[in-house]
Amino acid sequence: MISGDSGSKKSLMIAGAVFLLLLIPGVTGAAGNNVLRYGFRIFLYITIGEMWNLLSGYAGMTSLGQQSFIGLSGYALAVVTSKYGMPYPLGFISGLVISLVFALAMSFLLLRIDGMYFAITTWVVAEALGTLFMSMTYVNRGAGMTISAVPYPRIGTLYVMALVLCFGVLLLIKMLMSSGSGLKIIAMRDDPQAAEASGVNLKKTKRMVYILAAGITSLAGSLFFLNKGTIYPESGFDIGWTISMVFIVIIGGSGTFYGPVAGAVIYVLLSEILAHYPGWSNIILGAAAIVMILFCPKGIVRIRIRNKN
Amino acid sequence: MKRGSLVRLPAVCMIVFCVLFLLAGCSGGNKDTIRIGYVNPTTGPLAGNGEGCDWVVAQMEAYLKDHPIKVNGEEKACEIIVYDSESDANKCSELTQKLIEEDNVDMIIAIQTPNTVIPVAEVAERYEIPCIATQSPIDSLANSRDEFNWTYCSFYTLDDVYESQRALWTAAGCGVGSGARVGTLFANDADGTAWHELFMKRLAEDGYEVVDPGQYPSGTTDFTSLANEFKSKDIDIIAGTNIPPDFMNSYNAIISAGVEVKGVTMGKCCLLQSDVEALGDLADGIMTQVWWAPTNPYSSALTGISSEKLNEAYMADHDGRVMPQPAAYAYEALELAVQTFNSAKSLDKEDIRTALSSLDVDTIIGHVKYDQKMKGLTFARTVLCGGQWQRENGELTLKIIDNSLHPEIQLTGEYQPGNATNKK
Repeated sequence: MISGDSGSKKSLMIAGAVFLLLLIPGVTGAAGNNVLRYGFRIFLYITIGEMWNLLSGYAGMTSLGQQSFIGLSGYALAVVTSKYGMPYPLGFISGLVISLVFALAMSFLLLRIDGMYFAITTWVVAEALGTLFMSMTYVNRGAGMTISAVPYPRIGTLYVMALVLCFGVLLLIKMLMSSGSGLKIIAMRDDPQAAEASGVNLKKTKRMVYILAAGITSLAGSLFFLNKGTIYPESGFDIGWTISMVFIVIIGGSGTFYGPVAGAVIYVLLSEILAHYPGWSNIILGAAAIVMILFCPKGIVRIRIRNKN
Repeated sequence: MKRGSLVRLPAVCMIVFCVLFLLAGCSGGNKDTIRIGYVNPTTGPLAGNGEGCDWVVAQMEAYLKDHPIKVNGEEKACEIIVYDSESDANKCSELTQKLIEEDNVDMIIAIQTPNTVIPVAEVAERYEIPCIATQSPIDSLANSRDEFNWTYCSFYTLDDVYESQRALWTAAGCGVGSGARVGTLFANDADGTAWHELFMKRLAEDGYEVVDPGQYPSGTTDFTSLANEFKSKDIDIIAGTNIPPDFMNSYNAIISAGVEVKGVTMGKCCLLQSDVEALGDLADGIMTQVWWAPTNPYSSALTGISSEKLNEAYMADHDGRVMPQPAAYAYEALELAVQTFNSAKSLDKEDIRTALSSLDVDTIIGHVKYDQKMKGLTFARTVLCGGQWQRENGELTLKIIDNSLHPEIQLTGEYQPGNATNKK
């Protein structure tokens, strides 16, 4: 399972080369803004897809409330930049800290429950946050907030930030899943009782996974909203965020490293193409997900593996 | 596994890379074609406001076929690119970026309620693309950012709304100094919050006694305590703005509690024929804003068509349905866009902005000249009258019963007492 030293070094070098290759258009602006816009979206969706995959695919903790962290970080960014006029990196840090603290606090409640109950509770918490922000005068209630940054980062800068985050996350997942902790996570998903009997501290492992996913999802959320420029309770805490993560992981392949990468590329390209067909986009996205679940329930990445074998 | 992962990592990344570069070829514009980007809520909760967009775009495209835009004497083709926001603020920002970066639009149209206009205008400002904003109260947009350098808005202010509603309460016998008690119905969404703030201030200034049960989350189904508060305080007027389900739930609870009021003024859910028909008998006698009606004395300086003729054309294509008010603003936005390009010196965005800011034209919804300022936003004030939904041969019809803010608009009916709270 675990790669040998020379193999992992080679993998790392190739990943480094691809990273540098992808960095060139962002730094030099050689590829044009539209390419950078696609790249930005793909990298961020890979990031949140990988995090949902870590939760659901690897650890068996299916959450429907990851939008909580996207909304919290988006609002932290808006409050820090437009209410206090501070630079946006501080907004990122505030969003990250708030999300980590919130995830830690919620973990005491959420880790007592499993499966469907866990999924529904995370969703309810996200909805409650949306309703809370809708009534808070501090964040302009339903009127929403705008994010101000002077000068506003260009798409090239946003692209580089998303690329760094995405590759950082891919590296982190690769290292985590190749380590002892990764084995514990998979053991916990496959048979919690057996894992516990073998010495895996279920609560500690689950808490680590939940908080890690929350932190990284919040960083992606900050970048998403820095690019959008406006946030409303219904856009920050929208279940649509988690639906896109589920779509990406299902299409790509749940519990695989490359699944969310493939899923995110397909999701972004499909949603961009479907923008030309008003009213049809959700129907077609939904139909694509149903077809995948029926005919290829393990995702696109696994088709390739199976064919190769 | 090791070999597999070694092969797959670069393979997947290279695919991403290739796709990105292939897409580079997708963008790139032909400067002989003017592109106008338009984000419309075709589906989702705001679909009622987005109704008629396709028809209006088709009308303008047909007009442009025979009368091409001339920029500095040179004929240009024009393409209007419409994307559906699905009534989602996140999509509004994404699609505006797509219009700017991929479709290379020369102008953006931000239209249909603050939920669409604010995120679209925000992106247009950041990318420095000329933006025509309309059909969103000026206050909501003006409060969303400090400075607007590329966006020009035409609509009414919330002060106008208040004054128009006050005229309607006066018609119902509850004018200033009458000591009337006004019960407010505002959700805590974007519109409700903006209205609530202004109404509280103006109602107090005018000496009305305000019964404010507080803003509620949109989607609330149990309005019993609100209805009981209205009953115990014996209100005379209900004022507010709501989406149809919120109004239906709250109004039903109010009627069940036995509240009887002299007048009901309601924004949003009572503007469109389709929404009002869904309310059924509840809609009888409700008063609301009228920003455009087929009887208005305005014609388009561009196409020459009058409000009446435009409505007739719409009715002919839509089984006799009256043209919705927001669709007239869609027509106005496209008129303004075409007029801007016709008067622009070149397709340079600075020249387009100069042409847009100095527009002084008659449109289907009235005269538009960007000569007023609220905070950092330059805007043109447009028409607002008071209307009442009345039964005519069994059909609900919106009659213009007050034109105090714009006397040039023809009245089409008189105030009729009675509404669902006091009609047994």
